[in-house]
Formats: sequence, C-alpha cells, structure tokens
Amino acid sequence: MTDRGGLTDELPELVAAFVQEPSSPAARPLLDQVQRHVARASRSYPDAWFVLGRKDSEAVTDLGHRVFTTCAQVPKGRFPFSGRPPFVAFVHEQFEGRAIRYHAFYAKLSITREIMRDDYARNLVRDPVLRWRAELYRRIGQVLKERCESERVGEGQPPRWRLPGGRPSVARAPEVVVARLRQEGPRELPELVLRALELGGPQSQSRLTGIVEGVRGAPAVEAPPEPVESAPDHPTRMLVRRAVLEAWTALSETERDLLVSVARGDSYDELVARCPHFAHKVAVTRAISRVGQGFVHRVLLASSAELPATPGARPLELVELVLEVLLQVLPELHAGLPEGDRP
Amino acid sequence: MSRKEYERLFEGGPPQEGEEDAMVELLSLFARAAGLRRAARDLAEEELLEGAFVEEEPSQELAPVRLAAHDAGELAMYAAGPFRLRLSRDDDGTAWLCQEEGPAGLTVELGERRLPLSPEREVEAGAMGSLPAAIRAWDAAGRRWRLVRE
Repeated sequence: MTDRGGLTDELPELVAAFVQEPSSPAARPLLDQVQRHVARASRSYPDAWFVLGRKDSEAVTDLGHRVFTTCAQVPKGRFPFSGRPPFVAFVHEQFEGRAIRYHAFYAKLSITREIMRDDYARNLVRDPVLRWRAELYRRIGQVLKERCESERVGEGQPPRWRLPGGRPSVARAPEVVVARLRQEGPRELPELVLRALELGGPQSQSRLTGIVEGVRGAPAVEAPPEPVESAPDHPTRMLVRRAVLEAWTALSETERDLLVSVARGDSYDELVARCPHFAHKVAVTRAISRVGQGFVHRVLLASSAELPATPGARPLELVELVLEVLLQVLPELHAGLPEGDRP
Repeated sequence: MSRKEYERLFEGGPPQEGEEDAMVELLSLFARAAGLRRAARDLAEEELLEGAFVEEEPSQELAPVRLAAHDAGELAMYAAGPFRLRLSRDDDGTAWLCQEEGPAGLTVELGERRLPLSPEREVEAGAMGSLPAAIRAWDAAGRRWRLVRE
C-alpha cells in the first residue's frame, strides 16, 4: 500500500489485483471506491447530466457501475490510455492513487465526466425543454458563423466568438450580462447574440446559449412524449435495423457519402472536405433526390408497414429511431465520431 | 447553389406537392433530426471542455498534511472599496483567484487576460511567476478599481 503522510492508499493495489484477476476479492472494494468517487465528482451536476434526466441515488449508482465497466473493459484511444482499458493503463503506467482518481473521476476530461457528457447529449435530444436548448445552441451557431469572428483560446478549450472588425466589448460576468439584456427588452436572436458579445466580451457558443436562455427563459416543462421504444432488442428496432441495412445496400457510393454527412449533421463545408465531388451542384441534387427516395422513404415505408403497434411513432419519432439505428449499424459512420457516439 | 441546397435540408420548409419534393421533404426531416443531434453533442462536448460543474478534487482524505508555514508567499489578499480578493498559487505555479467580499459583477485584469469573478467562487488565473502587488479590476457599473495587496 502507498504511504502518504501516514495515510494509506489502497486504490493502486485494488486496481492491480482486479486487472490480474477480475474475479478476485479486490473487485468489491474497488467498485465501492469507484462508487464513492463517482458520487463525489458528480455531486455538482444538475439533473440534465444524468441518465433519464434525473439525479437520484439510483442514477448515481448506475453511473458508478458504468464508470467501473468502462474502466475495466473499454479501450480508450486518448492520452494516457493509448488504446487500453483505463484500469489496464493505470497498472502498466504504475499510476499512484491520486493519478488514478484524477483520470477516472476528477479531471475535466475524466472517464466519469465523459460518460456524463454522453448522457447529457442524449437528454438534450430527448427531453423537450433540453431539446429547446440544443436547438437554441444550433441557431446561435448560425448567427456566430455568419456575423462574428472566432478565436482559439488554448488546448482543450472551445473557441471564443467576438464581434467582427475588432468592435469594442467589455468583459462582464454572465449574470450581469443577463440582467442588462433583460433590462434592455426583447430582441431578435441575432441582435441579442451581438449585444451579449458587446456587453460580455468574447464568449463560447455554449456560454452564449446559457446567456440567451437566461434572458428569454426556457419553455415551460411539458409532459415528455411516450418513447417509441428503448430496449435494444425490441422488435421495432430490429425491423428498422433490417430496413436500414437493406436500403443502404441499394445506394451508390456517392449517395452513401451524402447520407453519412446528413446523418452526422455535417455542415456543407465538412461534406465537401470529405467528398470534394459534392462541390458540383448536380451531384448534390441527384444525391438528395436519390437518398430521399431510395433510403429515407424506403426505410420509413418498410418500417411503417410492419409497425401496427406504434401508430403514433411517425413520422418524426420514427425518423429519429431510423437515425439512431443508422448511426449504430453502419461502421462507416463511426469513423471520425466521438467515442460517445459509437455503440 | 450546392451549399444552399444542402443547407436547406437542415432548415426545412413548407410541405411540398410533388412526389419527388415529398421525398426531399422526408430527407429534410431526417436531416433536421440529425442536425439537432449534432447540436446536442457539440453543446455537451463544449460544456465538458468548459469544465462546467467541475470541482477540484477533494483532497482532505489523502493529501499529506500541509503546514500553514508552507503557504507563506503563495497566498495574498487584495482589497479596495467593498472588494476583497484572495489570490493563491499552487506548487506548479497555477494561480487561483477568489472574490471573498463585494458585490457580483467584478472583472479583473491579469496580464492579457480578463477574468469575470463570482463571489466566493474560485477561478483559475493561469500560470503566475510571482504574486503581484496590485490587481486592476472593473465592477458591474464599469468603474475601475485598483486592489492593493494587504
């Protein structure tokens, strides 16, 4: 055991014993330590960052189990894991307890926080109020790209956006900017974004989203719609999966390229960077028409025809289910996606 | 034209009449769902990188005992008017700033950086060789302050 000023640190030895023999008696106390640190690292997060959008003991315990499983079994490409499951990397690198806790729980990019990020991203799509926030973020992004300038602020930090042409701005705390904007009365979104930058100085897109949300207020909470289904092996998902695979094989390479970009939500610039032939108008027109008819319509028809039990599930919910299945079943889509979007 | 045609997929539009247009409309529905999913992923990633809700590792449990004498020269208080700031520096040279007294809305200037503060919330102030004799700041009304080391 590591001696740290008279205190002992069992964590490195528990991890080592578990990696050597997963069924060893070390597994239980190791899981207990993981649960304890996950609970501590996640305590400042709001509901939206937890699975099903609820922060309760069940959700925190579930998170702890997923952190444990990820550390034990899921190879991670980034530093310091280099393609190894985190527990294995901790043993190989002979990390002391403090370093293990840092990378597994407390670092800004820890395993725990990455899993929470993925839960939050899912909630942003599924919860009606959070969905409004994601849509607001998207629309603010359009305003920023069209009317503002971005600047990089450092490694591992999102870009900051500033007013064009070096227009002056003052740095103020976000709550002060929100209060000022409320006083000044309602504005259209583009003007609100520019004024927020003028009052608060350069901001990231997510902080601007928080400011605009603070000014306008999120919509009232509605009852969430009934889920189409969620179990991975549910027959609905199997039907959609089959329809997706059949329709995919009917597409040409060019059409698949377009579908991949659409499904990933790529911008036009990202599409052309990946597939330069889409710089020509005719290529886009043809592919859009063919993918609309040969894939989306075909999959929806095939799925709908066999889905008498889910009459309320279309078209939008069914489209989202198709999208989810598509992202899971086509390995071509996974290249270049963050780890959290991979099955 | 290609750009507009592609980007229109993600914006949507009024329902179309012809069969081919209806197919494109379906693809547009698909694209809008994908666009929202992308926005959700980007927003979550950005908030992660911003360090939203990140607290420092609670270290009481395992950190070695630290004597008050060890902190000499690594921590200083700055004050002016209603404001009082605490500036501390880690062993690795990273500085941390916390507004201990005074109303919200204070922004401090440290070299090239401007840091908005919130009362009683510690923020990272970057690498710092030595603690300065004074700190310049603005309050919420835009008034300038010079907080002097106590």
